[in-house]
Amino acid sequence: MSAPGVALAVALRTWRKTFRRPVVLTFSFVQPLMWMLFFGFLFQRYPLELYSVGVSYVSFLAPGVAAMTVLFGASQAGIAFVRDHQTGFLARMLGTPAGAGAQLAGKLGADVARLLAQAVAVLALGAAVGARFDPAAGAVVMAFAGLALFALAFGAVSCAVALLARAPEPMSTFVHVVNMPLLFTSSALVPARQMPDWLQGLVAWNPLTIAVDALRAALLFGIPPRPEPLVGLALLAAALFWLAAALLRWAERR
Amino acid sequence: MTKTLAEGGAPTASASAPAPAPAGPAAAGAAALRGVARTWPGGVTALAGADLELPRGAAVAVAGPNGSGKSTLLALLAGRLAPSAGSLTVLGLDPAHRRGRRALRRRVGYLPQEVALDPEMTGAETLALLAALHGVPRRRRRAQAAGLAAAWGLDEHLKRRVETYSGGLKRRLHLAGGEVHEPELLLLDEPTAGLDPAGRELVWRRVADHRARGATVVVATHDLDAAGRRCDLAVIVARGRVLAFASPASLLVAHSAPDLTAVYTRLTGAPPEPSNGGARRGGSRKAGRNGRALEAGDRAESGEAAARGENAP
Repeated sequence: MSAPGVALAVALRTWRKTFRRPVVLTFSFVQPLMWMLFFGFLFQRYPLELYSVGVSYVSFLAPGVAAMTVLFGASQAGIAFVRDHQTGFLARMLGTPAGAGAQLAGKLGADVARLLAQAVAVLALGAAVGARFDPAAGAVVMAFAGLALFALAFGAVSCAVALLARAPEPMSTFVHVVNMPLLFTSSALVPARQMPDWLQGLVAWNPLTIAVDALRAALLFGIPPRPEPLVGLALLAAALFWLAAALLRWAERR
Repeated sequence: MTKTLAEGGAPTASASAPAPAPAGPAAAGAAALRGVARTWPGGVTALAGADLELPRGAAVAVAGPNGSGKSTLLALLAGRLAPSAGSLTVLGLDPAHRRGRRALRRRVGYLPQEVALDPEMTGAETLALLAALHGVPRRRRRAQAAGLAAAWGLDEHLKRRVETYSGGLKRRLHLAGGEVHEPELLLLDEPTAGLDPAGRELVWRRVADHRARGATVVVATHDLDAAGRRCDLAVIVARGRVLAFASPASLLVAHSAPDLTAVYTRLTGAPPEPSNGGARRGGSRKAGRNGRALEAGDRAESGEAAARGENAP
C-alpha cells in the first residue's frame, strides 16, 4: 500500500479513537477557558503595548492560550503508543508491510489537525470573553503553519519518549516536567521584554515563543511571521519526526 | 541430518510410510531450516540445531511441552527472530536480510499466542485497518471483512467495540486479522488456547480452508488429537530439540502407538498439556507484555517474548 494510503488509514483510526472519548475532548477545552478567564481577569489592568499599540491583556493572552493548548495536547501524543504497546497492537501494526514512517505520519498528522482545530476553538472562546483580533488571512495561514510545525515537533518528542519508556508513568512525568518550563519560558503568557535579561535569551530560542509570536502578530495586527523562524521550526520538526520514526523502526525489532 | 517428509519416528530413526501428499504446489518448499539454533542471552537454548523442510500446501503441527521451543520456531519462520546459528529460507526468502523480512511480511501471517487487539476499535475497524496496512485495495476490504466475519462467526459482533467481546470472540478476531492478506504461510501459535470446543473446531476448519487454497499452515498446539487428524505433518520438540518430524500416520507406525498423544508421551516423557487452557497453563508462568525477566524456559516458549527478542540484523 502506498505511504499516503497507510497514513490516511492510521489517521482515521486516530480521529475515531479521539472522538470516542468526548469527556477527554471536552476537558481539553475547559482548561484553556479557565486560564483565559483567571489570567484574563487577574491581569486585565496589566498595561500592554505591542508594535506601539496598546492591547488588552485578554487579547494578548488568547493566542498564547491557544498555543498552550497545542503544547499540552502534543505532549500527550505518545500516550497512544504506550496503550498500543500494552495491548500488543503496536507490534501487530508494525509487523505489517506498512512502513513505520507512514504510520507515524498518519498518527501525528491526525493529532496536529485536531490540535489546530482546538486552537481555533480556543481563539473563539477568547473572542467570547473579550479578546479583539484584527487578522489578515495570509498572515494567519502562515502563523497556523508555524503552529502546526510546533505541534508536529513536540508531538514527535512525545512519541519518542513513549517509544523509549513504553509505560504510562514516565509519560506522565515527561508531560509535567517539560510542559510547564516550556510554557513559562515562552511569550505565551507574558511579553518577553517584561522578563529578566537572562530569561529573554532563553525565551527567544523557545519554539513555543516562535509559534506564539507568529500567531499573535497575525491575529492582532495582520502581520505575517518572518520566514526564518518558521524555517527553523520546520527543520526542528523534520529532525524530531525522523528521530521518532527511527525509534518506531527500532520498536518494531524489539 | 535434515528431517524430511520421509523421515520421522524417533529422532534418529526413519519412518517407512511417507506423509500424505500435501495439497497445492509442493515443488518448492515453504521453509527450510539447516542447523538452526537460537540461544538467549545467558546461554539458554530455545532451539538447538533444527533441520526441517516444510513442503508448500501442508498443514504442520508443532507439539511440545511448554518451553520446548515451539514459539521460537514460529517466530524464526516469521522472520521476527534471527537464528543464533544455522540458516533458514522461508518462501524462498532469507529472513536474515532486511529485504527478505519485508517481503515476508506481505506473504506470511504470524499470530503469536497472546491476543493483540485495540479494545477501543470495533471488529470491523480492526479488520479494515489491518487490511489497509497489508495493502489490500480499498474496494476489496469491505467484502473481505464480511467474508472473514462469516468464516469466524463474527458477523453480528463486527460493529461492537472489541472491549465488549468475550475472550473467545477476541481470539477469533485476533485470528481473523491474520488472514486479511491471504498469506501463503500462516503461523499460528496455540490458536485454540482459551476457546470452547466449537471455537477449536472452527480454528481447525480454517486451517483446512487455508490448506485447501494452497497455503502452508504451521500450528503450534497441545491439541494432539486434532493435530493427528487435521495435519499432514507433525513436529515434536522438547528442550529445544526436534525429536520427530513426519506424518502422524508414519509416527504411529514407527512407534507402534495408538495415537499421536502416545507418541508424544513416549518421546517427551510426559503427556501433553490440556489443549483447552488459556495463555497461562501448567506452571508455564508467562510474563505480561511488559515483562522483561521471563524465566528461561518460559522465554523460549513465549511467542510474544520471542517476537520481541533480539531480531535479525
